[in-house]
Amino acid sequence: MTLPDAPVPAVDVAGAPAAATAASRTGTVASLGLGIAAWGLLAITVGLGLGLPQTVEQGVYSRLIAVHPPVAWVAYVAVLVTAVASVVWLVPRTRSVTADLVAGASAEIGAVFCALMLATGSIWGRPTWGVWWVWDARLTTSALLLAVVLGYLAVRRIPDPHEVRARRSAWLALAAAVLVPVNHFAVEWWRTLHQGRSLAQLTPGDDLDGRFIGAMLLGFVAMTLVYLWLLWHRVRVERLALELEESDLETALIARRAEATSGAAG
Amino acid sequence: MGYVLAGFGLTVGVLVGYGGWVLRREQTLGRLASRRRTPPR
Repeated sequence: MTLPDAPVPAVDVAGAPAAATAASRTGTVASLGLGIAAWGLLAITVGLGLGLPQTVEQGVYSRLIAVHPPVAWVAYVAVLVTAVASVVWLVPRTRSVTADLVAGASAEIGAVFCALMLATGSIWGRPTWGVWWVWDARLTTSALLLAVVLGYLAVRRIPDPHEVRARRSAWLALAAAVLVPVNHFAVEWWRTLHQGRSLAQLTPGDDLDGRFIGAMLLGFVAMTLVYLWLLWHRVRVERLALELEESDLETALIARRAEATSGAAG
Repeated sequence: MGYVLAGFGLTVGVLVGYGGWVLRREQTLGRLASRRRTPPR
């Protein structure tokens, strides 16, 4: 899949209904197909998840396996994509505006998934652990990851020239990426209330009901596709915002030059 | 079952809401950029 590189196609008549329709289109056939696949699979995941049987240990709450681990997976992926795109931007040979836009777009999506990871984990924790929150290693590093990603998004919004802003936020993205493996392996490195890594616990002789594994794996695929669809559109938003920002700057410079010229003539 | 529905509902609700917001923003900025790109008659 290629990310949208080209700006929205220009239209010839400003303000005409046809122009407004063309400009308001939000994707291509590929992004439409991706969207249908992503949201369709998500709907199937929800249906399968809600239909999972009760377990002896957790009753109906095991059904949350269809959403919580997949949401956490995408939170990791989004932060790592931000870090990789930041590295691509930091290396002079591979530097491109697209890399910075992908980094910013992926970080915002990562923040959404990170918040969902904490919320769904908390909702799962309340009936099974008896508490909404506990300061164990996995939960604390998850909260820290969200805080760093939100910090990254705040740094991106500091009004500075694009290049300065991109360089500064790229370094912060690398710091956020370090937290991903720490968060993932926290359940092994420290004694935590959180269960171990879901997929690592699966063994050939495991008696776990295949429906749980199926719903969880489908959830991984569905959430990944939703992430890619969101990334596609969010990158377009970033590109359009940058284009408008540069256009504003250009307009301001033209106005300033005209002012200076008229001042000198007067 | 309330916790399960809350977990699924929150996830789907947030993703659909965020996706809708992104699409709306893309449409708004697309229209603005399109007007800027078109030279005045």
